[in-house]
Amino acid sequence: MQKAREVMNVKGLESAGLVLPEPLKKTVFDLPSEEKMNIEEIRLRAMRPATICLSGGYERKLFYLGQPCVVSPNDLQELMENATKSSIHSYSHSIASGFLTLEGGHRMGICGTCVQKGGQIVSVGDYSSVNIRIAKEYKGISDGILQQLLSGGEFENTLVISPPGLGKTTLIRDLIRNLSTPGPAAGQGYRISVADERCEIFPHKDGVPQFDPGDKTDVISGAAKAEAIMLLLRAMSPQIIAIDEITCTEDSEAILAAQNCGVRFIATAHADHVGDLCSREAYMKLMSNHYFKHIVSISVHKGKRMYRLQNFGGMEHV
Amino acid sequence: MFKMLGIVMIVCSCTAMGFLASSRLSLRIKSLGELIMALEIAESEIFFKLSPIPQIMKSAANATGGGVREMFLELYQKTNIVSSSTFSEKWLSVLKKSQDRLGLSPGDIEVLSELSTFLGRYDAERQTNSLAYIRRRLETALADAEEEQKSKGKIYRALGAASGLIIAISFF
Repeated sequence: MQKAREVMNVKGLESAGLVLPEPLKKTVFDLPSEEKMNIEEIRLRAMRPATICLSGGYERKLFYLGQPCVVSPNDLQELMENATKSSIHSYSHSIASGFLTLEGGHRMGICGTCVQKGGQIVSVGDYSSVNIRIAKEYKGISDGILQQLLSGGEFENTLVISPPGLGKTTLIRDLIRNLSTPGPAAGQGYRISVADERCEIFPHKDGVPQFDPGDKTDVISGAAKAEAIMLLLRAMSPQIIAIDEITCTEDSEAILAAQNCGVRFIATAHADHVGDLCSREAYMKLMSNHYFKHIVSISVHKGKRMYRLQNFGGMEHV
Repeated sequence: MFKMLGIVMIVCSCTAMGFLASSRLSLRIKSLGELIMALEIAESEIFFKLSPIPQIMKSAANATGGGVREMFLELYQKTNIVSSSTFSEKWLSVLKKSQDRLGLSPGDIEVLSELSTFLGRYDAERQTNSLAYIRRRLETALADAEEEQKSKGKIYRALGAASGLIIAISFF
């Protein structure tokens, strides 16, 4: 299992690295396998050395022929050309939102000079920084907690929390796949709708999903979560709605409104612990009503991810 | 006998040269017509569908024929893979390679080369405006080419045959 994951990580990195300009591409591809499988991000900043971020938060410079790989503005331009297949216009909406989805589901964050029209960002030019985040799909990581999220065979509202970069999206992705696929735990499988505002849970490239969403999953991408939730309720009659990152009160109000339709939710939040959320306006109503019956917190212990399940009855499973 | 054969060969080859010069004018007209159609398709693909460049090249290839189709098919194959060369470089190299096959004039190539400066680089509105501008210039070139064919096409053919006959008579 571990070996398969390592191979998958290296493959993921290599598919993301295809868009890099030379000699950066060669530098990344020539890294030792044990380092490649731990790379989570590749960061390029104009006129600064390119860096890689490894599991655990360590960031180091990349070297080519003994010299730091300094990124030129032309490198960033070439990277954008590769990432968009020379078609900036086709991705203008996504670029204006600050990111691009690469083949393989990898997410490329973009910084530069924003162009505004009517108070709205319509484009980004003069690229100054790019962050390629290597997407990962670990099938089976939610197997250990799935059963405990079901009460009497029914799924209950669940929130996944952790600090950034610990794998909330990876876990929620596998949970969705598991829940929507018929099996011993999920029975016939739940009809799940995903409001994927940032195209991060189930990114698609030219209409092709880059990860396995399960048998009964419908995904709407690019729309604001509150709007997408209402749209999904009307159009797809889901049993469960999944969203990444509750960020504003509109999101939590939409969740509470959907509660009246009998829909259950899986969501994620950036937080160290539950206490963090209780003081945030966006979560106050949800937390005070004990809306989420299960909180899954992710932590890293000796390089391994741990999932701690907290039921709002006080029970804890690790 | 050999003299007669030589005369026939001279007449035939001169006539063929005249027809060749005339058919080159026809080829240019055909290619310009196909290219104008391809640019119209590119404008629609960008304006209505925001299609990426490889898709545009494929649609243009599907809608055209002959050398223009081959040119867009090659561009589709080249743009559909990630490589170290830019779209601009790919466009210019394929265009240069296709010049003879399409019978285009250096002026036509110059106009088409300008596509490399904006295609795929800017927002949809700017690209469709620039494509329309290039298309209008090709339409002007097409009108000129048709005029040239009317005035020179027959002359080339007649001149070819006549020059063959003159050479033959001078030998005779």
